[in-house]
Amino acid sequence: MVFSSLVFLFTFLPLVLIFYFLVPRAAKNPVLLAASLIFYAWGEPVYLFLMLLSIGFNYICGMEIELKLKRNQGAKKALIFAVAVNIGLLGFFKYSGFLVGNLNALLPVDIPWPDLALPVGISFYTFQILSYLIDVYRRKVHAQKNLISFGLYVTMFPQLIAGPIVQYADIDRQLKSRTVTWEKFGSGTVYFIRGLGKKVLLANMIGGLFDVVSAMPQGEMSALSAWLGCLAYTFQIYFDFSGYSDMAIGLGRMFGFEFMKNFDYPYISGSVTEFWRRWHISLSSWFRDYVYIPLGGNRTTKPKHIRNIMAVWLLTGLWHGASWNFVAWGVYYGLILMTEKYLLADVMERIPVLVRRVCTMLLVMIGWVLFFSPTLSGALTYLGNMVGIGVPAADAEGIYLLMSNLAMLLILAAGSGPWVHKIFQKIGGDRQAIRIAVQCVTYTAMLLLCVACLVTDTYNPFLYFRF
Amino acid sequence: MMSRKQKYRRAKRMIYRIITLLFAAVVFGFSAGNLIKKDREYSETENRMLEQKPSVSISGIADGSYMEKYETYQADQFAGRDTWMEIKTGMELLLGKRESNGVFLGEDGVLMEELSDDSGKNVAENLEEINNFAARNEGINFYFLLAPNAAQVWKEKLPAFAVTEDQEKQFAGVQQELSESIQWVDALGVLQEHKDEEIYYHTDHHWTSLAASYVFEGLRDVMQLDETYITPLKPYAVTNDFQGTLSAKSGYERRAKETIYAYLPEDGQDTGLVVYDVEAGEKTASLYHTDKLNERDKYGVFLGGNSPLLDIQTVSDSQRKLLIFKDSYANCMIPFLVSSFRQIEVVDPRYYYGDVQTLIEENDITDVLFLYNGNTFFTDNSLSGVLKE
Repeated sequence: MVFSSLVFLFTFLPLVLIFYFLVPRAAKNPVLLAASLIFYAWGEPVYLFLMLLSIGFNYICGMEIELKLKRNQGAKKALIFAVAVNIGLLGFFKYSGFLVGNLNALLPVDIPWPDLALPVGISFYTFQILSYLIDVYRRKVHAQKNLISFGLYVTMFPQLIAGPIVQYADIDRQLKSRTVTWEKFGSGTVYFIRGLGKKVLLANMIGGLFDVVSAMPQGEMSALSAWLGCLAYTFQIYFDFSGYSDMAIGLGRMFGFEFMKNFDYPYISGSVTEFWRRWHISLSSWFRDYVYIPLGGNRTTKPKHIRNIMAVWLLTGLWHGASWNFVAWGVYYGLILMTEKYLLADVMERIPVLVRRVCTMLLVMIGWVLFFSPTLSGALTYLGNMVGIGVPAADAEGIYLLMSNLAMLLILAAGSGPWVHKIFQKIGGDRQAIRIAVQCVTYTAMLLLCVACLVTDTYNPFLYFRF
Repeated sequence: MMSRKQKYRRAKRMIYRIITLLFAAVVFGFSAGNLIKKDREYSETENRMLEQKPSVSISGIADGSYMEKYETYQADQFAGRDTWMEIKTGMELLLGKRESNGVFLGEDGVLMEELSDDSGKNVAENLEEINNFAARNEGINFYFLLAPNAAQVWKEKLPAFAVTEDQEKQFAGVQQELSESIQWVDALGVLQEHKDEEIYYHTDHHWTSLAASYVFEGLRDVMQLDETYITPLKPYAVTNDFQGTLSAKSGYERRAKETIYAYLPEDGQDTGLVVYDVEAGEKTASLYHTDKLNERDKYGVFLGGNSPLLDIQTVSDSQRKLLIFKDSYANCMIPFLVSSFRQIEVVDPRYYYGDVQTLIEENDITDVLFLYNGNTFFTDNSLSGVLKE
């Protein structure tokens, strides 16, 4: 199930809210766990068993690691075994097809391999489980004795499918006791509506432009169209993903949880280093805490530091998907980050911030081309189109696309920074009644517009008229 | 006195409370509304059957098909569905979008279909078979009438910067491909001259009878129809309640209503002729099916829609007998032709599976007319099959 659907908003959520707030405290976690399992099974009923198995296995592993820590023997082995099983599962579902495909290309034999459907959210919940196991091993947290609490940590529906990736240490206490106040619920609602708006009203709308451009045959689009497509994707992925995170944070609050901020206006970054401090923060933190720092981080020799950066970025690339594009995309960022750190550190201080922002955005957009293209060579052709190799600078189609999407693009550009939000908060000034009215009306209108878009998603008039 | 900060905080708390209540009202309100509301079977505006509540089954849940159906069901039966659609369309209009589902929203609320591309291989095949067909039937007069679509003639009304095909170029290409024995009837030029008049419906993809009447004048000259047989016709409004298919397809102009004019002899009677729908085995005494005016697609008033084969016996004294290969654009042209031919065989190749050569010989056909609009002709995949030997 996804949040931006009618079934979530008008069947699932109201039922869960009713049950959650009616039952006594002791039954709240079981209700949330049951709801999360239904949420998960809605789109992917088969993989529910995998999920249950995963919960049971890791629950036992956590306790086993802690027990062995106490006895001071074999804890490391237990951790390695548990981590290997989890990564093995992720690898089997996510990377085996890629691996076999590459082997088949290299070897004379053809290994048959079925196309496996990727269990929803496996990349996210595997990382959450790993953080739990490692934190138990590091004695940062105690193993969770309560199976329901542990199951809830792994499957909690607000962040199950697309994060933020919650680290166990951050949420350990909340699993046991948390309170919901009017203010907390209300701020969660605001977060949720804002996220829903970002996803449905902004990301989905501009997604149409990207679909049009990416459907054009390569080499037939003008440079203008290629830029519009790239810009559309740039906005779409940000508003889609950060909208989803906002909805997750908001829903979490409605049930008393606090999740970390996942996006912090990444498109106003003055460097790529800064961009990655603002983009998908929970993933970068995860890689920092569980890969980069254990490898020695930057407190080591230069060659080792470079190795650490490249390792993290290779993995980051692969985490996003099993294909050479994503590997290239990760390596691309690894190289830029090293360049910024070792070659450009002094130079960048002297460049005006606006220039740095524009350059950063250009690099990020090139990155997205690697990201959205179906193949590496496709990405290169697309980049070629953008600089006008073999294609006209602009054509009638491109101009039409620009003109019919101009308003939307301007709204998206404005919405990418903190400015709109700041101004919006200031409307009314000290006249609190006006502030209250403006905000309440705006958020309600946003919610209603989202419903309108969701209802009309299936607007599909059947035209039997034969003419 | 409260400080500014305190006031600000208090307002913030107030905002959270009110929004929580409003959010709950929307979520619970519509959930309850959907429960109470009776399900509809059919959507008039969308012109299709709506999804009904799926029945629960273990296999349906296991393979996920139950969930899929449930989501469609919920969207289809959502309370106030039609109103939500108008809100969405309105929002897109505000953002400058003027195209939906292949339909442009032009000036003055005119809806125009995108023009089809003419590069498909069916086009070449159709043209080749038309030429072969004409070559096989020497001694019969062949005419080709290709009607332009609204987005061509009314391109000034297209939204700013909109791009679509150029039918002038496409039609010139077709004319060049046709062999010399087939006479070209210029509809594009005629309609361009009359482009300030109501020659297309604003919410439908068809041309109006007025357009057909102008093009008929050209057709009359090319066909060298005998003036003495021609009965002058006069327009009569048959409905003011027409909402065309483009409106349903795009979601635009959902309140617009148009008038359909039918052309009848001055006494208002198209007497004496017999229209025989061969497939249905039905005979009628009129070219007009007024019962269709109660249905949604009121353009069906002309000839009752598209039948595979119509056999029209007229009361004309002319000795000429016409065979038409056509799409629905011909349906409002035929009234102008009935006084000039003693008999008209109307074939819609999309649904016709008979043998046309037999049809020609059995009926002693003297004239053959191809009448299509550009969009249909360039996407047609049935004509060559019907004409093939």
